[in-house]
Amino acid sequence: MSATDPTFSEFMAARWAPLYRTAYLLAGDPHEAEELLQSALAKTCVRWSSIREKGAADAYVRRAMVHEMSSRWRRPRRELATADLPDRGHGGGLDVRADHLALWDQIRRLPPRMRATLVLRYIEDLTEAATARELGISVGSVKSQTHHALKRLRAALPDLELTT
Amino acid sequence: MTLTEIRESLTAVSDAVPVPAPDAVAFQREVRRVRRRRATVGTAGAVAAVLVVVGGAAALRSLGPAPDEEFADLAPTAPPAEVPVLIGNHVRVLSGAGVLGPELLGPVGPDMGTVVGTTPEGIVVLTADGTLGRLNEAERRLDPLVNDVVRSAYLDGDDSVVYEDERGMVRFRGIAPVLQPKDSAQTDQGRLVTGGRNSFVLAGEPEGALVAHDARGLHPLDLGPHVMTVVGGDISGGVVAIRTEDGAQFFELDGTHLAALDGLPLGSLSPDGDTYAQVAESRDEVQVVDPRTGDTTETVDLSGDRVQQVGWAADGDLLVVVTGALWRCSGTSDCRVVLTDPDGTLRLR
Repeated sequence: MSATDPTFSEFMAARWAPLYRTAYLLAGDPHEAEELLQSALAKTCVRWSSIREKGAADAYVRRAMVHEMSSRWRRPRRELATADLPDRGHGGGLDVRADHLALWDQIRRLPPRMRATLVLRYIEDLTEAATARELGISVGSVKSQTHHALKRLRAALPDLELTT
Repeated sequence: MTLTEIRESLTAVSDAVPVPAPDAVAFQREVRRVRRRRATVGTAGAVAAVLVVVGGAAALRSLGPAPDEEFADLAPTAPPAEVPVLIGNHVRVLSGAGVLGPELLGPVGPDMGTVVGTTPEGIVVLTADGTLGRLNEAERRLDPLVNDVVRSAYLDGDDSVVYEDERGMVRFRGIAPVLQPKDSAQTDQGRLVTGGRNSFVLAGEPEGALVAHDARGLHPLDLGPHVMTVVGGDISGGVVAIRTEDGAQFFELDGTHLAALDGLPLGSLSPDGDTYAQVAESRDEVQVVDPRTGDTTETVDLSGDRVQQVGWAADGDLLVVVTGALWRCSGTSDCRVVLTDPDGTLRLR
């Protein structure tokens, strides 16, 4: 580690908030997001000395979160699936425009891999190839996941027009 | 609906979501869990112990997981828990900063048999002559908790004790501020092996059997077909550890057998019941064991020192008494000498 490299605690203090936001979009739930991020950061912490490019640590954490999400959706689920997400209260507790909230509500209902594909492609700005690597799927699957995600969202919100 | 619109919505949600503060305690626990798992799947014994000298103090990293130099920065802000120790049969308190306090009862106080534990009301001790009492640090005296002569005692949570008197009766007693008996159970059979919150284990009722008692009833603990001598035990976190002459066996409180561990009858269950520290047969290492599987997850190397005793601080730090010194680890790693003991009379309980 060079003298200018951040310590893990400095990294965590600086990056906790933005990484939590990514975790929230991946998990769709604040509690799951916190667990997901905590787990990913713990893995990063114990490997910190072996991460040569500290500037790439964000990507390391994000990849750990995606892998954790992947293992969760591949794991047999103990809980019963339900059509209704828990009531988050008015506005889902988020202070955003109604049209953004309506769309987010539908995105949260997408299968985790579809949601992760959208987040990596359109928030993290990864290419299709990079998204495929992160998710451990083929580029073709990234394309089809994106296509089906948009199809579902358009079907759920046929009249939605996002205003600017 | 366009991709740009989706991007805008996700960005708006991302910007609006309230961000909780990191939970340092939960994070520390998660780091320990990751370390243990890595140690389990890693190459046991392939990594040599590394002795480094930091500011004149010897610091030893445990074998197994990769070192994480930054982790110490993330420890909760609370200072390390104080540790009561016995030196020359007198109780003294070692602060988290490594400062040893005076003899709490003065040099002419009664000889101590055992430190039973630390409670919010003070340190509970059992003297060599069978007095179970609470140390009154302000007035430097021992306040007896019961009139009985006591053979053995264990904390039952942090507000009462379970003890066995000289007639073989097992009783409960509240600690303070009012010395009222809890008296939720008593028996005239067997020998008290260990106790914990609302639970205890008796040996010899009937005919040599080992039985856990809790609020749900009596639960036999099956040690197997071989006759073995029980030398002690611990209860915490719903786990019962029974030390025998052949090692240790682990159970759920309901009697479900979890795992067995061969080795010396020298070990201690952590306060959360997640970890069992076992002195290796070579006596120069401590094995950190998952009591639910019996697997060794880490090995703490004491660089050749002969290990006498292991225990735990209330905050989950591993304590190791070696010939001439007390080591304290952060969790189960980053161990360092916190007290020297030239007379060799140091004990944890």
